[in-house]
Amino acid sequence: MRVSSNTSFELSLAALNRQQAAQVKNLEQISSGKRILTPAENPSSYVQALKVSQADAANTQYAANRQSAATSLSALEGTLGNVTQVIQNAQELAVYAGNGTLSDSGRAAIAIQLRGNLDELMSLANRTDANGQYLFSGFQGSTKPFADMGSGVQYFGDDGQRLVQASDSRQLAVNESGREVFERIPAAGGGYQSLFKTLSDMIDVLEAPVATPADKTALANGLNSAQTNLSNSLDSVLRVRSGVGNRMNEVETLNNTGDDLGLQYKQQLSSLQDVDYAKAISDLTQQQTYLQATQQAFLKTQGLSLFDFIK
Amino acid sequence: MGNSIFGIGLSALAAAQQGLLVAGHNVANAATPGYTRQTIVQSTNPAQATGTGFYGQGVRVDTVSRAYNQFLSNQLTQAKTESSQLDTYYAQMQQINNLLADPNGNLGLSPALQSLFNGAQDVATNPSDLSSRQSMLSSGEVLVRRFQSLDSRLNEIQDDVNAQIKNSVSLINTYAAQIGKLNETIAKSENAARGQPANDLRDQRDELVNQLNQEIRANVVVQNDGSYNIFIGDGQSLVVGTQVFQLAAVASPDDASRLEVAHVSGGNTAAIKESSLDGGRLGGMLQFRSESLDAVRNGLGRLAIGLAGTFNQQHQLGQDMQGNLGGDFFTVPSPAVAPSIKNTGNATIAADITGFNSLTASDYSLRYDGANYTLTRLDDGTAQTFATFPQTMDGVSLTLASGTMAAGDQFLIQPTRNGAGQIKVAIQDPSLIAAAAPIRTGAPLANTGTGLISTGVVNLPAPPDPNLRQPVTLTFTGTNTFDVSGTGTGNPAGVSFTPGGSISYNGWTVQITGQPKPGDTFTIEPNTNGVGDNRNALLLGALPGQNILAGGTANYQNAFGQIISQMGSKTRELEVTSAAQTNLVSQTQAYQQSESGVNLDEEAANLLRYQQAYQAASKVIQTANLMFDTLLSLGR
Repeated sequence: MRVSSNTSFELSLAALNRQQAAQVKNLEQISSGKRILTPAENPSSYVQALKVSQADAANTQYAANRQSAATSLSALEGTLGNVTQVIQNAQELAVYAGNGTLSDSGRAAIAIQLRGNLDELMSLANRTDANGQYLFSGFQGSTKPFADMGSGVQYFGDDGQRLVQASDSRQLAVNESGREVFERIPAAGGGYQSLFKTLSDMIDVLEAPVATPADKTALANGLNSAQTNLSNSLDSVLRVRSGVGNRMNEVETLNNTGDDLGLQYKQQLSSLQDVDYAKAISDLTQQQTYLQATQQAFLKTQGLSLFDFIK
Repeated sequence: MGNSIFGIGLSALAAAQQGLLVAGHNVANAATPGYTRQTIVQSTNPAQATGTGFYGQGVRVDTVSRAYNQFLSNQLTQAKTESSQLDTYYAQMQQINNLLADPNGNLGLSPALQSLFNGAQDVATNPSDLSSRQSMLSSGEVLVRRFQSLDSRLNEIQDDVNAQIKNSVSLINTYAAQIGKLNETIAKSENAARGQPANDLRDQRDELVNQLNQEIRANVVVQNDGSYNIFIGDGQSLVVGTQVFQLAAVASPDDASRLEVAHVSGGNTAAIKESSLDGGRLGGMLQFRSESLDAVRNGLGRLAIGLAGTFNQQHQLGQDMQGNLGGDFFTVPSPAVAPSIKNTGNATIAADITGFNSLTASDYSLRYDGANYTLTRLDDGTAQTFATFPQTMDGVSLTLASGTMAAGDQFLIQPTRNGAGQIKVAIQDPSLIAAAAPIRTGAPLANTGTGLISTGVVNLPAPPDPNLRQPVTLTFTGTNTFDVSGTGTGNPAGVSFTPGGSISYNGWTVQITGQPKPGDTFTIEPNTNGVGDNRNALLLGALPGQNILAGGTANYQNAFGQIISQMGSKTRELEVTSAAQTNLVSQTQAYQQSESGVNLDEEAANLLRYQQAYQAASKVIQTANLMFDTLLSLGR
């Protein structure tokens, strides 16, 4: 076949261009560390990488959520621990007050201690978190949950429980309603009685002077039911506390699986889009060889001309 | 006898000289675009008959012919017009491909989308914290700006397409004018030369046809007199003999922001059907615009509208920090409706998006024939015919807003075209984020059974029931029945109870588990002061996991992924096909050039050949001269 001089020139030039373009592409990959730079290079891998990186971002967010949940739960745990101590303290005082040798003034002294316990309990029940939100008011974070209205302590919160998205599929409660912790406590005489009422009833019993046998019976009965109610309160608080502890453990477990998942996502992402340096660099060397060969071939073929021999 | 040796020598000398001229011309034009190698066609002069036989009278050059092969030449032109179209389309697609690319995963739409929902989860974690709320609003702003900047970049690309259409049209007009002129010049020159072909002029004309095809596919019909008639599109004539027609780039009657190509004939301008204009840069631009640019704009618009709409719906079911029901978080972009400038009626059409789930990325046309309306989905031609408004198709509801329609009136409806450009964050005050649910439930301590009431959810879709926040009490009258009291419930009595079954009134749903006893009550009440509630923020944060777009088949990320994959695949496809077409062009060109192109070595050989012929012819003349001299010297 005849070959026009233009054709041979253009073909060589096109080959040079192709080689150079391949080289630039390779350099881009090496300098960015990414195998896929735009969607067109591998649409399905690109979209897959996008999905994995979003899942990774969501996983990171869940970790942040868990961090916050852990903070809330440990504040809750600590407060419930204090409440437990107050109840145990009151239980000891109830046992001590049952000692028949105590005088009226001795019982009054115990009542004073109990008042201190009651005040402490009020302040625990109205404790706030770092954001100034009440721990035990349900959904009404800025409403003080417990207040003494003269006729006894009343609850102004609600039954709401705040959940935190701890993983893709798990929501964990990070607060407890005050009603659940302090009020929904089975009473000695049936129904429910709040811990506040148990303590203030006990104070009333201890402050009453004991003179007659009837007074003695009333004291004994009062202390009896106080002990039952305190023990019920302790059960109730411990039950809530163990639920909180379980959730704290769950946060721990979820942290571990979340970390594993994060690692998996990063590996997946890397296999989807990262450049294989060994391969990229060997490709580059290969391309340089091709380019050199093409350049030399170009010079050789273009240097050949019959005109060189016409003298 | 001597005379005719001179004659033969002279004829040979002339032929060799002409051969040298042509070879020189070939060398000179070796790199001239469109140049076809020329050769002289020699033949013997008529011989002189004598008693001793026929004596040749030397040589003559009949014509200078060009090595032109119309078949190969056509093939090359066709391959090139195709290649030019693919290259143009590919170059444009690369812009979109690069626009959507986000190799480090922190600048694109996708991370911004994720960041909004991370923001919603942060608000869920700290519902009363204003700084978390502020950062969710900022994430919303960032997301909206990503949409807007993508849209404005796509607008720039559309403007660029318009500019290139104008440019192409003006080039086509120039080429057409030059071809018309050459038709005339060639005819005149060839007449004057008694029918000898005007090779160089013909090359120029063929090259112009070639360049014209770089802009648009043009069909050449060669006339008996050798002139070219040229047609484009559906057969619109561009050149007929020496008569030249013009194309014009005019604003589309439906959408003034788009230029269309029209044919100008006798003062009339008629739009050429876009689908019939293929090949060349113009074909590539038009195909890019209708196939991909519109698709990516509508796709992004659909995502923006779907996101804004579904997010708003959930947001409206919540309660903000001030205790009010949630409003719009995003401003949902509205559909674009454009009456054709040819309309004779004064009707205006209003379009509203009613189904975010059923939106498509297509545009629609509405046409009135005097009795019925036809609404056509433009991407697949599905049509609905109806006589009265309102009419809903694919989640878009159309109403006649004002005026009256005249027969033949037409509207272009683009539900998603403005989506990415017009999405906005509707609130600035972080306390207006509806993180809480508007209701809460409760059970008094006096209850004696083991019944537990769930926290309650607000039923979709928005807007919520007007009685949503009315206090309602459920009072158990037996172990399996309860009475309901509260505004909006109708106060039904003796409702049968199943533990764990859903109980729905006033737009909320609760479940009661366990076994309540007669006399137990449960309350559903407004979530007054519920600033610590995060139930709606949790639901907002969970939206990305739900397939709430594209007829329930895609979540937000998937919908965006589909756009990326669609555009990426198209770019990839064009990369491959345009490279293949470039190969085809270069093969065809090698073929065509092997016949018509100049080979310098060959011309060097020709130069030597004609030089030798010239020298030999000189020798013949010298010989004749010597013979003559010999004769003359006889007389001395």
